[in-house]
Amino acid sequence: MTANFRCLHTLRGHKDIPGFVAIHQERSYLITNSIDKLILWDLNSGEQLCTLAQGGRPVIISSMVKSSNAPILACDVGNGLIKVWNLDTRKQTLTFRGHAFQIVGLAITPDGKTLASGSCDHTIKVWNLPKHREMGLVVDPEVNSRSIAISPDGQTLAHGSINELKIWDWKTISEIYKIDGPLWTYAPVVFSPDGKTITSATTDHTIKTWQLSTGQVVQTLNGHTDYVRSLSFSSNGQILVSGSSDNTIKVWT
Amino acid sequence: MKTHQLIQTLTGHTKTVADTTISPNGQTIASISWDGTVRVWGQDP
Repeated sequence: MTANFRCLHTLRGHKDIPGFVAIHQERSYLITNSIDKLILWDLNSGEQLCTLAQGGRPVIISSMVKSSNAPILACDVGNGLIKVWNLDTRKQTLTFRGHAFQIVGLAITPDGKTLASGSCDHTIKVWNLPKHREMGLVVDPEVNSRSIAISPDGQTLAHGSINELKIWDWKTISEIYKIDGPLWTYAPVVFSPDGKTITSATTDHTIKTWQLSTGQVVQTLNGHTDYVRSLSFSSNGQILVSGSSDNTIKVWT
Repeated sequence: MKTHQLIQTLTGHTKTVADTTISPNGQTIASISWDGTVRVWGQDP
């Protein structure tokens, strides 16, 4: 299989420290944020549609997720508050207190109904987003909740902690197992779209994939020369994209 | 089980790539970098 990606647009609009990027394919939305601004773009034209959040008081978005099916975007806006936008109406639909302290990691299921939030208060909460009701709570003093993922079926939670990856059944609050990394501090964690494997990044700049049923390493990808900061799969799992501190993006099929 | 191998390296950002994402259909990649730019990458037909 070959891929021939080339740069179609170089967009400028963020002046502050950049954070996250998301695509909503059906609506052709591109969502990006810097430390004080959240911008909605037209993915095809590169036109800036609107600024969803900014102002005199900085909107410090330390985490951002979007569901692949519903036009929903959820952000932490500092101090443990979670804000949810409907991208079609461009309005905030929900604001609720998720945690007592800052949220540093968010994950959402493709249907947009289940949200996981991890905080520096060493807890991860699982939410029914339409009802904004807390459904589960995992407490772990070693939680590095910036690295957080929820399986596509919403049943399994994964988070990076010091040197390892922990897999939880959040409904029973039972740790399924730990995987030795060593992961680096800000390692991304993603489930494969079929929910059978989990992929993260290690301190030696490799990308590793573990089989969820056994915890065994099934793949190690070498190529990046600095830390891997982001990972994402196409919905059929065929393409994996990684972004790195080595200034490059790599496409794996 | 699906295994992956490297098929392309996208260059152009001049600083750390802070975040990347690929569209569900695999046609579009977006990236944001400490160089202050957002890049949209597409496949030639």
